[in-house]
Amino acid sequence: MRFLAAVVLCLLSFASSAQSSEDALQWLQKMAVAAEKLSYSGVVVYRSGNQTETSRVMHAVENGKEFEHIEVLDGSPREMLRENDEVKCVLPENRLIVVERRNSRRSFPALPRENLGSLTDYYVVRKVAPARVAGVDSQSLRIEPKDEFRYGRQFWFDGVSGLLLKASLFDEKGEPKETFSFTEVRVGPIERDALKMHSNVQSSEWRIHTVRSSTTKAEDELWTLRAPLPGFRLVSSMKRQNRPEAPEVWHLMYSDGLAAISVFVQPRIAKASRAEADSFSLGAVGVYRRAVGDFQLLVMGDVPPQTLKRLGDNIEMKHK
Amino acid sequence: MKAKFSALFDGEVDPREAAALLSALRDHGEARQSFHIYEMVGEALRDDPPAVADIAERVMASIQQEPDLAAMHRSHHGWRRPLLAVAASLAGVAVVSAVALLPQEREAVPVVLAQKVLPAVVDSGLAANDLQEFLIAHQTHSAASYFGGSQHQVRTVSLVEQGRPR
Repeated sequence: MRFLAAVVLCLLSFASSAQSSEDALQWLQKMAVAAEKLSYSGVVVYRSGNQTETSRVMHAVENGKEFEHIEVLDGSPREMLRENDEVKCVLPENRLIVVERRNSRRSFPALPRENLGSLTDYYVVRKVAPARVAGVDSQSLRIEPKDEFRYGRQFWFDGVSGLLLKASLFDEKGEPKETFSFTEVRVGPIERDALKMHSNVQSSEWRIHTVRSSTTKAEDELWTLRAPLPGFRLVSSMKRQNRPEAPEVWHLMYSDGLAAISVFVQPRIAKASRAEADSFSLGAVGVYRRAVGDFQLLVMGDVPPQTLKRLGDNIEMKHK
Repeated sequence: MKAKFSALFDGEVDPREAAALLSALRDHGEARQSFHIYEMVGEALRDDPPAVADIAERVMASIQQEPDLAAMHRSHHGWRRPLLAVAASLAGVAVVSAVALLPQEREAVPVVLAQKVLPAVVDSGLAANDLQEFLIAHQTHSAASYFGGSQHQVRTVSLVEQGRPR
């Protein structure tokens, strides 16, 4: 009898944890929808390592079109402007505007976000104690990795609208590597003028790099991952050219639904590096580089260095 | 000599005296290798200040790659080991003093190991701009994996400054 009670208790607790995980995934879904559908503006503090920067953030949805404008308020006034899938990055220090066109979300059928259930194969997703962020009583979700290939995260969001108010990325020791946090936020319509570029880019010193990219078909892919990396799936495969005189670069992107890893492969110039491989980081984004024959491989993503290395070391040219 | 070295990197030495000191250090037999590390740090600071948070790590990584320096790093005697520690920690903390001091010596100080400290963008076949543009590409195309919308793009414009070529 006691044994039966224990089994029932065990099943009940399993059911309740499954239920709570399901709830948590629904919250994630709500957050993703809110990020696309809501118009909001506010000030975000971004902390990466010991660097902190403040940015003004605006996101508007008008007549089915999505507009986004981010302006860094500290240091050089970099800007990011987006209209639907076209992203412009304005870099005043370089007098450079980089124009990228991102693939429409619908062209990512493999993306785990469309199938949130698979997240729980590699992460434990649970609701944690609510907290107050940017003056809003927010709900919170903690996402812990189940293995050493990914980092943990925590999201704080408005329980009513689903708007993400704060997000942290944690390293292997559970220390925050990166935190975004709204210090003030307002949900509601935004004036069109506020969404315009602020930098004066009229001078002839400014250059515009319009990136040309196209999705590659499976049979045209030149590079492949020899051994799969647990949880990471190929979500896009493109060829790109940063600017007309630049070499053509293959861009493969892998994602586990939360973390993303890009692999760029381009021909090496004749003057080859003595070092065959190296790694460094740009804030929370790690970079691993390796030479493969006449090609240079650059792997980057918000995952631990060993994940980048493992993926990078397993990329090889397809045998046709 | 160590005290002068320390004062030099604390920016407490007159620029003219600093030039003489740097020159003496460069010619001083045993100090030469340690001096290379200071040069490495100095060059790194001069050429890529925003990436300072990562420089200490890269200095140590490049020391491991360099057989002579790695041997020095492993030796447990003499004053080299503390100097290495100082060199690495300098990268993290003494940005202002090193930057204030070293640019005046730009002509005099040969570039010895700098290309190994910093991502060897040109050396390995990547144009300097490409690192930034790859970061933008990564961030732009990975947005679909993220749940938070704008917060993801804040990272793009913040980190892109760290990948900026000098």
